[in-house]
Amino acid sequence: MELIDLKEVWDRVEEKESEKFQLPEESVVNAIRKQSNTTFSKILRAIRYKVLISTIASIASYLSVPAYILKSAEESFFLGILSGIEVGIMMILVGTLLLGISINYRISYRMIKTNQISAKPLKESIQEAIDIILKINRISIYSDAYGVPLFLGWILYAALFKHFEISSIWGSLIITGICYASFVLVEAKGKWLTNKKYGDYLSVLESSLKELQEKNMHQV
Amino acid sequence: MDVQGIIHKVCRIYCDEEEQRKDLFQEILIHLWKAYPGFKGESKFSTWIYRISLNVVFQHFRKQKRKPVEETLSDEHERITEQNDRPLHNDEVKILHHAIGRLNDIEKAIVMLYLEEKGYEEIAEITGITRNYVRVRMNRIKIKLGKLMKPLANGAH
Repeated sequence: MELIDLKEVWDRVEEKESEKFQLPEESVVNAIRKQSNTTFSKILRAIRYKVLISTIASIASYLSVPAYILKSAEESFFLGILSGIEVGIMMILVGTLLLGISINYRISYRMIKTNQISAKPLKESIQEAIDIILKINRISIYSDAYGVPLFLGWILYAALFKHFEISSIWGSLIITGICYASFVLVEAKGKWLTNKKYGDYLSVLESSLKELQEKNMHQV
Repeated sequence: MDVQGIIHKVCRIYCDEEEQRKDLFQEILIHLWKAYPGFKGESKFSTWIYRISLNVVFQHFRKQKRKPVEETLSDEHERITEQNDRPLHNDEVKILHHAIGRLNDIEKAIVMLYLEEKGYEEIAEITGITRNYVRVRMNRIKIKLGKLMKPLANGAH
């Protein structure tokens, strides 16, 4: 059987099946109304939630700054190791980090929305899909990887320099070492989690893109 | 133009199981509906439908399951064989599904467009590769299909 015979079989199968599977208008309308469940639609719904949470948390962090600064003289926070001003500065940093996360997720959200209804050629569309997944992975990995050492470093700084008589060189070395170790650990955990979540999908997209790249021509 | 026909072909070539086909059919319909306001007529309507449909296929990630050839032959094909005026050989349908089922997702797209008598120019427009490369890929697919079909065709006759 040659390709030409295959075409004949294909035409005959299609001829019969197209008659049988014509959906009435009502069924088409019902199908359109249903919720999409593509991988991208699921990512989109998850991102919408993350944008909401990070925006609210960011605003709350900024709003808490004046309260901490005003209470600065009277109280201390986090088991007495941080003053109100220090917590205020930390909240500004946390708020900015969350705002950055929220903005990046919002950009990804728009990118997915555009890609979902894209009539671009397949190669371009797959490349875009890969870029989007990688971007989402990066946000997810590095928001934690930078956030955790930032918070930890600040607490350590306050604890070491205020409560222990430690030289500035040793203190700085300990803080740097712990922050770096926490960055590496959180980054590794993030990479493992994102790979578990989107790794298979990403490799399908990457191998499909590779198939469309003309550098494969020399293999012929 | 038979829009449903195009969607059915895309679903059939990418999904073995009836349930998966229904899901993909619905997804393509949803995305076509959402994308339609953006159709500016810059390409042929069929080209636009193929592009959206194939993009949805790659957004609709499904875990790959390797199945024996016999199981991919759906009941509907059995019925077609029985009902057809010009009877389709059960073996022929089996070979068609076996051969196409062994291609990767990109090869499936190219071979489907080829079987739908799209020219190299239109296939290039839909897939985003050059016309020359479409020809190269098509030649490779022909060789691959030939190898896949030969033992089955010999066994069938």
